[in-house]
Amino acid sequence: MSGSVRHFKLVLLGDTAVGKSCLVVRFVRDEFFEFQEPTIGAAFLTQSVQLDSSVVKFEIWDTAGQERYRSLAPMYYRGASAAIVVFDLSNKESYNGAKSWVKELMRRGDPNVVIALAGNKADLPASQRKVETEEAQAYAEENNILYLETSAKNASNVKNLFVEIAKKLPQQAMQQEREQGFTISPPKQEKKSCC
Amino acid sequence: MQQGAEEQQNPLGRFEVLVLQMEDGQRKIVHDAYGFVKSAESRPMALAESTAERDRSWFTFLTRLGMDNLAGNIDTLKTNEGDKGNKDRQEFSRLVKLGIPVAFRQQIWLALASRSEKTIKLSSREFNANVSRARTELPSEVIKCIRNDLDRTFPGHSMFSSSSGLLNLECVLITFAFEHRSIRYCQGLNMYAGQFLQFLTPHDSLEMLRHFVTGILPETYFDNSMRGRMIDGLVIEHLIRDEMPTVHGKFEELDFDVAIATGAWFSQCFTGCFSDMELVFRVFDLLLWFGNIVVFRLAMSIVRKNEYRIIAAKSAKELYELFVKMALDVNTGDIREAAEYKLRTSAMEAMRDKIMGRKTDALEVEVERLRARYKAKVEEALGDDGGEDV
Repeated sequence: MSGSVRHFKLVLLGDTAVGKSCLVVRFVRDEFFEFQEPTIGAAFLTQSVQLDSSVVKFEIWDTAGQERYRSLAPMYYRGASAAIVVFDLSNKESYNGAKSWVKELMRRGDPNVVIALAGNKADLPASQRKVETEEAQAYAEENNILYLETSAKNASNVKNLFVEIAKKLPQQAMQQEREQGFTISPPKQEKKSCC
Repeated sequence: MQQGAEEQQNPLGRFEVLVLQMEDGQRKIVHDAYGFVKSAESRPMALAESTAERDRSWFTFLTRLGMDNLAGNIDTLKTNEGDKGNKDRQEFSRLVKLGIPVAFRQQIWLALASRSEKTIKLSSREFNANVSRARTELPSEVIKCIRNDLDRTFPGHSMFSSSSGLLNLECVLITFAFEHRSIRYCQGLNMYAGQFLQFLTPHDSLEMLRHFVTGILPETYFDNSMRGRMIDGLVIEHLIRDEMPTVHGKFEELDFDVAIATGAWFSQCFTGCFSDMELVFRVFDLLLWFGNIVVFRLAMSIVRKNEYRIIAAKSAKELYELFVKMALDVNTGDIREAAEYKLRTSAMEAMRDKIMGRKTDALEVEVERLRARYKAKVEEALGDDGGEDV
């Protein structure tokens, strides 16, 4: 245990009820709740991972998943060094949602943002799976982002997800770019009546 | 008849029953007076004050007002003119700031949300019809969205661990969604509905939800654009800049976004931010009588109270955590104090208003001015594509 300590802002994005908060709660407190309250707005948490020669401290923004909250998302991914885009392996729609989040991050996020795609709920039986590993893997490679299948419920791959991200982050904690004031620049959103 | 639309018997009587202990494997579950699972971090100090004197004052006042048809009498209190009307209103305002006793809260809330007892029985049939209609006519994706959040609303709460409790919640949310095309369902509304259901019937909870979302809070907090939240985020930042420049300087220095840190204070009226449900209900007491400005008063008052802690912060992270703590530290006394919050910079305006014979509140005027100003800005940024709200 030693070496430098680096701080990074990390944001979680993805459709509603895919398990964003569950992943964070598993990572930060090693707990799991079957019924996790929907995140309203966003929640802020911190947790560190120990690498061989350094410690990475994550400042985590866990965001709301409902479609209409998307207009607020730029407030949270602005200046983020890393992003975890989560989808539910048993929900194809959420996978499509995740892809649009990745696209948005690439277009509007920090140019060096480290993106990890997380297929969550890997504990569910194979019969419920709607997204194949190969498909998501191929998409991730194509876009040069990480892909991991996780289960917040049984904890598999959760810590690993953050460790893999930590390894890809720059050796020097970046001086986060400062923007003056409050920027409102929500993306054009699809009109949907609900989420 | 829909099972979920059944009227609950004696909703107030439930408070006593819910204080119980159960064995759940290794973990002991203790529900508090509101049916929530009591956590180790419960802070009894927040409610330590004695309410005996307050309750006596309430009793005296309400007896004088007339306990029969209390709802109707409070309803007329809103509009009564003349000296007596003014005096009654003044006393009522004073009492509301002290908090409405649990025993009267249900009736007084309904009265303040303009529900006189007469109409309750009449429209309860209509309510059931509306629920059925909403169930069949609401777009299925909206219903799916609502169902998704039902068992995630106050998980662990004794009421929402039962299927009838969840059904009631569904009834309220789908009927609201059916009635409000521009809003439908927004995550967070489940929390409001869940809170009301704890001591109101589904029918009355719907009325209350309607009153909060379309009467007290800006509707644009919950519609597709959510522009109301962006606007108020800019307004609170502006107010802090004017009132507490050193604090605002710290925000800038650390690249801290106060709109983010106070987002839930505004959109949820502190639900989930305070250490005890009673504190949230105290805020709702105030909101129902004094209106949305209460949230600004509270937010400003909390920030002012913690000025020195904020200025001492070393990083944005520390500040985000501090803002969570600041809300958790709020007690009943703070809420009473906050209800009286006045702008430091308002002396001139107060004098002017006095000369002009106006009875306005400087903070209210300022918030309205800033909202109008930032509305234009936000709409410009949204490219006027922000939504189809009315």
